[in-house]
Amino acid sequence: MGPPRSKKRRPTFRRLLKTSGVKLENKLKNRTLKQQNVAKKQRKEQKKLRAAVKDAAIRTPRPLETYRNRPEEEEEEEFLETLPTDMMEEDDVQQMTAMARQASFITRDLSACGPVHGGKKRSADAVRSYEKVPRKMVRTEETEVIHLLPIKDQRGVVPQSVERVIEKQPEEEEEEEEEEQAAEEPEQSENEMASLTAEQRETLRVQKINDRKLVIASLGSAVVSDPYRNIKRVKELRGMLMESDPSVAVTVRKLVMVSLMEIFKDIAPTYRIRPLTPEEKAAKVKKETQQIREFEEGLVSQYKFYLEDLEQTIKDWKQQKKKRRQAVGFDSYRGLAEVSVRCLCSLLLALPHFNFHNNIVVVLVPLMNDADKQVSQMCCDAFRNLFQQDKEGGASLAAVRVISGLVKRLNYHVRPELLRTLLSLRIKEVQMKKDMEDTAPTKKFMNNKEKRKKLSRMQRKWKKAEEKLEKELLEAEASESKEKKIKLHTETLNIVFLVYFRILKKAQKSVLLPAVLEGLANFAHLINLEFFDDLLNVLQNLIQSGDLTNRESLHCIQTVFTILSGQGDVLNIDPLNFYSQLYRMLPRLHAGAPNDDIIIVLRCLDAMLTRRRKQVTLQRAMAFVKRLSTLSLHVLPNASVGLLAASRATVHAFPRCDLLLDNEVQGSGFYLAELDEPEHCNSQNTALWELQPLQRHYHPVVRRLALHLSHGAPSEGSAALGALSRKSPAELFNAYSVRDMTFNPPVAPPGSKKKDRFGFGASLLDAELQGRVDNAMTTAAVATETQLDFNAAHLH
Amino acid sequence: MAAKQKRKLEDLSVDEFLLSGFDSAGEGDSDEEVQKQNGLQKKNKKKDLKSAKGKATEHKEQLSRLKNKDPEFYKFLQANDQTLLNFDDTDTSEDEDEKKYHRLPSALEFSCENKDLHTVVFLETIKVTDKMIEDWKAAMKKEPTPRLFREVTQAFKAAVATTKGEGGAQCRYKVADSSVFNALVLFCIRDIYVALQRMLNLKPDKDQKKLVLPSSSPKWQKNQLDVKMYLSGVVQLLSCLTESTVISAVLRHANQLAPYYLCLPKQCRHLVKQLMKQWSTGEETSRVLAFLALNKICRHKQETYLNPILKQMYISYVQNCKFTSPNVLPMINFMQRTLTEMYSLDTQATYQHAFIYIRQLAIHLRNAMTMKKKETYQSVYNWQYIHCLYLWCRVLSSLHPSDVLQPLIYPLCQVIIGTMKLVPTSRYYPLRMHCCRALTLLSSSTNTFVPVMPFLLEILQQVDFNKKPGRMSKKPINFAVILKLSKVNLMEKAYKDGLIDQLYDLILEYFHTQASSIGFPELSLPTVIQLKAFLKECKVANYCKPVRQLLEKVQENSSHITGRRQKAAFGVADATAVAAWEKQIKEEGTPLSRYYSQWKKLREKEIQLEISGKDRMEDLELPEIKRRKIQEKKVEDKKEFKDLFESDSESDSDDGELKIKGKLRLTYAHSPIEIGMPRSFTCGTVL
Repeated sequence: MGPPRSKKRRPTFRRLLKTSGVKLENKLKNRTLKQQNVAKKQRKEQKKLRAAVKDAAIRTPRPLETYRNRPEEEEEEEFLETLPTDMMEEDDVQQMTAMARQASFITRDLSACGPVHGGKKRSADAVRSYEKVPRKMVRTEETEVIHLLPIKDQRGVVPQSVERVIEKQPEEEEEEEEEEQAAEEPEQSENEMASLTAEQRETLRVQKINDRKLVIASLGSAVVSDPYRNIKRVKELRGMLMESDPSVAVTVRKLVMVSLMEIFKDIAPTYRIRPLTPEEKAAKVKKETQQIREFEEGLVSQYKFYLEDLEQTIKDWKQQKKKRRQAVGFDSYRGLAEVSVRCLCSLLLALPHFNFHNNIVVVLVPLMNDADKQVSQMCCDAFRNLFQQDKEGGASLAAVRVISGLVKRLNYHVRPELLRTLLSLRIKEVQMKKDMEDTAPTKKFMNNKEKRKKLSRMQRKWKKAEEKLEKELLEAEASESKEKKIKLHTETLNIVFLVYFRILKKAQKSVLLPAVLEGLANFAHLINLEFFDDLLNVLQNLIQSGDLTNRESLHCIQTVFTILSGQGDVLNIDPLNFYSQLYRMLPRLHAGAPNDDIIIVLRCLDAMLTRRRKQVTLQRAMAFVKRLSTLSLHVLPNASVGLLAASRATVHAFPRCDLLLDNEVQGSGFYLAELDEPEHCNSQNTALWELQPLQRHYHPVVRRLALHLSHGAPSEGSAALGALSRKSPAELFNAYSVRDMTFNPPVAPPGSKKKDRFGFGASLLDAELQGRVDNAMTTAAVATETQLDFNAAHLH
Repeated sequence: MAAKQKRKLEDLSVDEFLLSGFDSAGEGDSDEEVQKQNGLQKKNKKKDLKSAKGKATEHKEQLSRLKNKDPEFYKFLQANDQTLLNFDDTDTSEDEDEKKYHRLPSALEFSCENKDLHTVVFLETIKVTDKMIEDWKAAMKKEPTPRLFREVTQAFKAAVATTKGEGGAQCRYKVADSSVFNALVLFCIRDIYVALQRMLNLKPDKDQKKLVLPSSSPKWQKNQLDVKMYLSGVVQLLSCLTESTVISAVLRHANQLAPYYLCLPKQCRHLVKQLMKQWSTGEETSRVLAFLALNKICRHKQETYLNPILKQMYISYVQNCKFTSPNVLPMINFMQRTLTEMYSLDTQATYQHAFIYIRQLAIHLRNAMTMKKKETYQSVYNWQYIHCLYLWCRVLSSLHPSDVLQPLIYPLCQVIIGTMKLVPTSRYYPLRMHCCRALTLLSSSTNTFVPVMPFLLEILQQVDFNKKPGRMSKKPINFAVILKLSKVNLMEKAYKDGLIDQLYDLILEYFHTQASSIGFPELSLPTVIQLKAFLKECKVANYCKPVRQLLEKVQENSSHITGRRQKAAFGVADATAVAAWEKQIKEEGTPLSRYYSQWKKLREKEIQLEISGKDRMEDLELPEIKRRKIQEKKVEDKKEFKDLFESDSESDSDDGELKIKGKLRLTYAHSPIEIGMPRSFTCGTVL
């Protein structure tokens, strides 16, 4: 299941966009088909093996002795481990070590977990090998334990490793405890089971589970304590995945899955293990090296089988779902599959450098689009985290490749969440433009001629040494890895854009559009120059179609201006249309609409007005300032603060905006507030009167900003902003967010220490209430004068 | 008889005092009395007096012994008679003499402990007759003497004792006949106050500001005991009356006697308890009078009474606004107004209260925001919460030019806006409208700017008015008394009709408050755009008409302001000039404000019509009202301050009662105008 990647050069974007869709699809289809075929073959084999194992398990009567044996083994093991080793002589120890090595050879030969064998051979004698397992365990146990003791003692690692295991194992079990709840009921009652009452059965089951847990724990701790020696235990543990006692099968399988996952996470080396070349195999090596090789081989094969098992479990669940056959309870299948997915996700994150990572990606990517919400959620989260923590970019690239294939294969009928995971890619950090690299000053070393000309002998000598050192340093600095990283990122991003552009071109009506626009806005600064023309056109059309929601349009605008403010500034296009679009949209973004749109507006404004101040006319800037202030009357306070800060930035960028603070008519025409063309609305003829109501705003910071603006945004004096001026509009927007009902700024203490006086003497504030009080008094007085009947009290 | 009386007075002053001491414990004292009756024998008084020196320490010992012996009773005492337990430090305000006497009864009170200490038995009880009352009346008119007053007090006490259902065995008098009872009580509440004033030589306070306390009179010491007894009697009487006119009469009397109560803390506390009950649950007049008395008490002894009374009033307000119906609404309104009056007494204290309670509201809201579960947002979306918001809006807007309370406007606004945005679905439009009303009130009377329009425009944007209603409905929806619409409601025609009406009202109301603002054109810009868009889209003539009218008025006002401000000679920064300009515009009147006042008149007429229509309907639908009464009472009993907001509230919309023929907008104006207050009290629904 290695990664069979063709080394063929990937077509460039431009070409991809131009070549017909059908052709492209065919190409990719072929590739995926090839992949699938390979995978299928292997799966088939695995399945065969599984069937064989199942048969064997059913035919052979329950090997009862395993239950009996296991606890004994435990005891024995414990007993042996507690033997006082200091009683041994030095010679004995050496002898034993020698024996142990021999023994390990033997065990290795006999055990099934030797060097990677061919799949077919394996499946042929699968039954036999499975049958061997329990019997062999007894023997290996003995020998293993015996060797272990002296070796551990010598190295002095015994206490550490043991401790580590002890603390590790319980927590694992704890997390697994909950899963037991979900375990299935024992349906197929065996003969002996039938005679038992439900209670007894339950206790028996609990006991069985506990036994299994102990076995898992002991195997796991053995592996973790000394992985080089005990890699075979992994196999035993894996054997337990075939647990077939119906009463505990599901639980035990889950436990084993999770335990194995933890074990692999723990023992996997930090490098990728490659298969040995025949020469290497032939060559004689030291014993330690040999040991490591054995370990590596065992680990890789076990890991592979484990992954296959997980995959198979998931596949079983899928098929079950399709067939709707109810054999062993659909729920248990589902539970198993979920645990498998979880294991895979956590391996995806934990071992991105290790073998078979691509395979995990291939399995998990389709699950991101799974109908089951929980599963897809789990996978999406995993990939999001992977993208975020991936520093090298290799894993991301692989994942993105598969995702793009999936999106295409499903003809863009995927969940938007799937595409949104791409937003987490950490590509912002790298400048990936080629021209940038070219222009970057490469350090030139002087050639000999120059040196001779310019430098004295001593200097030359020095220089030589220096240059050598610098070269070495450069190499050491992993500048190569940086280049590689950039390369990977470039490729990743190319694929991402490919996906985006395809959707823009072909599936404009799909639900993916918001995700695409958001993604474009996110990576806009990295888009290649050559796409600008097309992209601008597409976005223009999209916006003008009028089908977009506010947020989508805002994303479009943001994309356009990020592009233009980056490398696009050479393009010299005046995107007047987009200015008008935003201008038109502004009044619609009042507090009734979602508040988060404002943050996009703020980002757009920064790119549109402040950064492009050279290209923007004063008219336009003033129109925007006016409309922004108007809008700030109608939004939540944090948005008000942000918008006012944005107008402030604009006022600073265009000092002539102070026209808006005077009430003088410039030239002809009236201000047309409702006209959606910033250039033609005669904004020079209005004033920012809305700052007056804003100075009465209930939020203290809004009041302050409004006052500041109304005085022409001075940097000092009573109307200056102080610390607030250092924050960007977007920062201010976030700082004063009211989402979680916090009060920022805090509620002020009473304004003065004095009491305020309201009303005079006994009269009330509320005149009407006073009237009513007087009225009541007279009524009561009149009532008192007339005959009253108090007897009610009596009778009562 | 007079002679005998006199002798007794001299001899038995200690015993007399005892009686009054018992009585002062109020209604909770029945236990003590029973015990006392057990040991009711005449014994030597010497010992009695001697033991009087035992004083507080001894008393405390007794009490601690009692605690061991009979914990239940001790608990009872704790609950009902704190003064007895905290014997030493209470009543310090009273004079030295008083103290000396006061210790005596406490030593006597537990016959189970002190068998040798006893009270006097009145060997012969005198039956009060009409003749006697006449005599007393005449004598009082002529010259009120302490002795006479004592006799009357004794008789009054006897009369009150009958209401408790156990014959006043310990009283000197006996009131058996109900007509005598009537005459006696009537006589008391009519004449006693004047008589007391005369007896104590108190001049009626000339300037209203300073209350003359009776304790300042030289004769106060001598008569204090009788006054105490009398005041306890009044409280007792108040607690057992049920008929509203009678209650009002007694409450008025209590109002007169307020200065006396102020001198006697224990009696005052009991009175406050009764007043609180009347204020929150009584009939209209009694509510008003109870409020008046509470206000008087707080006004003159702020440091002792204001804080606890404010707290209790707020709690009972919250407890009593769980259900909202056209009938209950005026009472809630009344409570809001009176509470506002109380809060105006001391703004510093008000700041503390308001801060705590607004914070409490904010915490509820935050929980709802973070949990996002149905149960949690129901702790916000209920009547109590909304009425509390409204109360604080009213308090802050009534007490507006106040430096102390000014800072609270900001958190309150934020809470209200947060409440609106919590679940912004169409089912909660009525709730949103309540919030908008509260905000409009707050912003207009505190001259604060709060964005209200967006929340109204959002409704206009979200609802598709072109869509044909799924079902026709008979009843219009009364938005004033609902928070949430049912799914069925959302499909009705009445829903959309009501929505347009409500929006019209609210938008007009809000713009009216901002009509003379210099920023009006900007303020109305989104509205104008939205309304135009609405007119473009909407095909239903009935809806277009009011909207078009509204648009016209808003535009007219907008252009008026634009025109005026273009001629202004000042810049944006000149705040004082702007304020003067706005003031001038306001005085001149704007097109919108003129239209608004016209509309308001019309509206009030409509409401009057509505009320009369409602009254008619109420006569027909009495059974329904009764049902609610029972249901509410049941719930009321269970309520605790703790779970103030927890359970969901109910809203009785009583649609049927509001059905009127002809085309009428069915709304209920929360704000300045008070509708149907006097009338709806007459329907006999007690909360």
